[in-house]
Amino acid sequence: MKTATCLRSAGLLFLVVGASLTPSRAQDPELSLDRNRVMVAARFSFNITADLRNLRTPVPSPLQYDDGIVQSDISGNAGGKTWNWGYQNANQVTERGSLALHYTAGSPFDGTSASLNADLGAGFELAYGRELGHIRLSRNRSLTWGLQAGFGSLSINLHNDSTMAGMVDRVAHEYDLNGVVVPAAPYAGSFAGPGPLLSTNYTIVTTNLAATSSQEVKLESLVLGFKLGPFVEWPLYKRLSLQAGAGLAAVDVLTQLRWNESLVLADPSITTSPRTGDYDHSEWVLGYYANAALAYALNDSLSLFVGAQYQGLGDVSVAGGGKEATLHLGHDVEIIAGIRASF
Amino acid sequence: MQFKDHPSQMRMTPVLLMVAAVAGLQRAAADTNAVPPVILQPPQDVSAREGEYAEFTALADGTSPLSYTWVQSLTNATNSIVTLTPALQLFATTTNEIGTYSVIVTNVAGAVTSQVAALQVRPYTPREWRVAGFQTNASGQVVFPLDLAAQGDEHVLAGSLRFAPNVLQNPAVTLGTNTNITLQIDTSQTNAGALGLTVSWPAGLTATAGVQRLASLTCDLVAGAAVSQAALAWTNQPVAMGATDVSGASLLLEPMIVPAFFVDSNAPSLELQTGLFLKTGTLINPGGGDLNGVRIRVLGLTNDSLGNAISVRTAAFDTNSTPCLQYGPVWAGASNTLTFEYYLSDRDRRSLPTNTFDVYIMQSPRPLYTTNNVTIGRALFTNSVFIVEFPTASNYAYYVQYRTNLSAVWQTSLPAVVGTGNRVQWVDRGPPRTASPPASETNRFYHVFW
Repeated sequence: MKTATCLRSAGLLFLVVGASLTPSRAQDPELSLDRNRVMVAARFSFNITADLRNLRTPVPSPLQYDDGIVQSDISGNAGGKTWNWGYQNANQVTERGSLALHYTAGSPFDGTSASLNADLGAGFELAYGRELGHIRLSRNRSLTWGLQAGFGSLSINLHNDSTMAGMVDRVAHEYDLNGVVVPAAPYAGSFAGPGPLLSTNYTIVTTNLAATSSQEVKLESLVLGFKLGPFVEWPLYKRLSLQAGAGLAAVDVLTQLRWNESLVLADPSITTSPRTGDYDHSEWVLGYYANAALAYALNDSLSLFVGAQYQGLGDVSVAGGGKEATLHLGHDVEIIAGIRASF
Repeated sequence: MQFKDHPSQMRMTPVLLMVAAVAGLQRAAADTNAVPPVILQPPQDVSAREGEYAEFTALADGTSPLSYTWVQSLTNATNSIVTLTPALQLFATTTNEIGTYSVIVTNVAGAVTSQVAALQVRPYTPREWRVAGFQTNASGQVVFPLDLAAQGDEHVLAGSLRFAPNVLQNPAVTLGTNTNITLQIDTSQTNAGALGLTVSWPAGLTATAGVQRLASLTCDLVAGAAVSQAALAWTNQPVAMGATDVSGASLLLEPMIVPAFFVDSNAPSLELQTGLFLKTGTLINPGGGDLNGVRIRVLGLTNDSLGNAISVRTAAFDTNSTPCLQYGPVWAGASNTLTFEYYLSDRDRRSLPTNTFDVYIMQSPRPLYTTNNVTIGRALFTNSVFIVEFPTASNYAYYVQYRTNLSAVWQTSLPAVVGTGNRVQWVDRGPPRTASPPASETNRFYHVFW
């Protein structure tokens, strides 16, 4: 996802730079020497949060056992049988003449919620501004106003590591062996076969067990967006000025929710397969922004600036595998710092 | 004794299984209780057709190590051949090797010489007069096709067929499609179970090269006798075996009786243990002599409904995509049930076409010897079959050997098992993989090597 995003960012950046408007020179020779401005800034986000809801852990499809496989073979399981199966331990062969394959349903986390902790978000912003007019404040000072458009990128990483104890269901699917002598454990059949045939029908036996679960959740987001709005700039003192702007923002939020969960059951003889999930989501969100920055002119065409930016965007949710993470972009506070070229 | 039982051997009822790993008993040479060698089983006479494989074996006991020196006594010379094994292998026999053979077994305590065994080598000729199996007709009679594999120079063929008069009676011979030949039948010893045949071509003419059906011998089956008892043997009475060309010169002629093969009419059944479809057939050797072995080609196989080739897992090899089973030796008059294991990827028996089978007599199989033994993980006797289970590496060829007692020579089962990288179950249900069903014996020993 990151590679694609970078390419996408580069393309958009190119478009923005390439779209630098050729300024139509102002008619006021006294006040309008510089009509265009290009800004490049780094941005650091502080106030983006996310919540995690642990829903009911679903049974994966196709079903994945902790201690074996039963999969379709080359015949498509003709006759309700397959030779593409396997198991791990001798004790899975029951006295009833069946083969028991197990998985664990549910998690101690089911039904709980948690907040995801955010690292410092970082990104960049590239903007073009067009001065449209001046308002004379005094003989030597005038307020400049105009319109600016920008493109920006912001990377946000959030995570949550936690452990919880509770009850889970240990589910056994017992497949009738029909008199077949199973190869000694561990055994794995093949897709093309041939090999001992296992009926694909099974009976279900469920046991409730205590378990401790360790869960690690990561939500990685890349916010790519455009903004458009007016700006004004007040000259404060000599080379120092204050610039402020506000407008509309539209961002594409690319999110990736990943997690892994390890279950330790109360019965130490039972080992379970770790659960993992990896879900991507992309969503456009509309909102607004407002910013203010102090600028220091290095010379007639270059200025350094530093300031703050606030973005109010909607929430973005990504869900899958029984988990739902919601990224809150409604109160994004950022520090921005960069350089501006005027020409 | 040279073989030591593996400690993981398992005892089963009614069949005793001993998973045997080969290991020499390492006894110190300075052992004052050393036992001199004793020959338990001397070499036996061997008759082979020129070019065939022949083997002499001897079984000896005594303090290890034992060494074997084979003495070859030819017509004009005596040679000694030293081998490390109790087997003398002659891979392509020639008439120069006709003679007697004996073995001297030695160890630290002494030496012993076996009795001699004779090697007979019949000169090779592709000219064969064959009884091509047999079949029954609508009247319940037994019909023996008489074929000639001709070289094109045969002018007269002669020979006699011997049969058991308490099984077969009223022999009658009818010519095949070639009406150009003359058939003379000598019935003077019919009541004693012998029938003379002479086939001749018109003056100056000879047989056409190739295999051709000369005639068919039809016999009534004596009441109470079974078809499987129908047996024939070539003999020299009342008409001596032989062939001559147009000048009257003698030609080499190999008399041969090809076993008959009958496929059971039952539909192939799916075996859950192996995932294969099983179909059985009966192989009957109507000849008066033992055969080293036969090959049965399975013709007419096509692809299944998934487009995958149908294969026969008991086939020893494929020739031009035609699977070929190998089984032997086939004793005179013996009736053997052979199981064909078909692999159908769609597991739909309707994909299995009606097969035809060609039976060929083959040369002696060459036994395989190796030192790379595989530890057998498990062996079970269940549902009248032995399941031998062992780990494999992917695409390696594994051979299973078996024998019925510890003093017998290992027999090699074919085909080899191709490793999957996982545990493999090899099923012994008898012919053609092994000489007989394991349930018919009280002991069967296995080992696996690659």
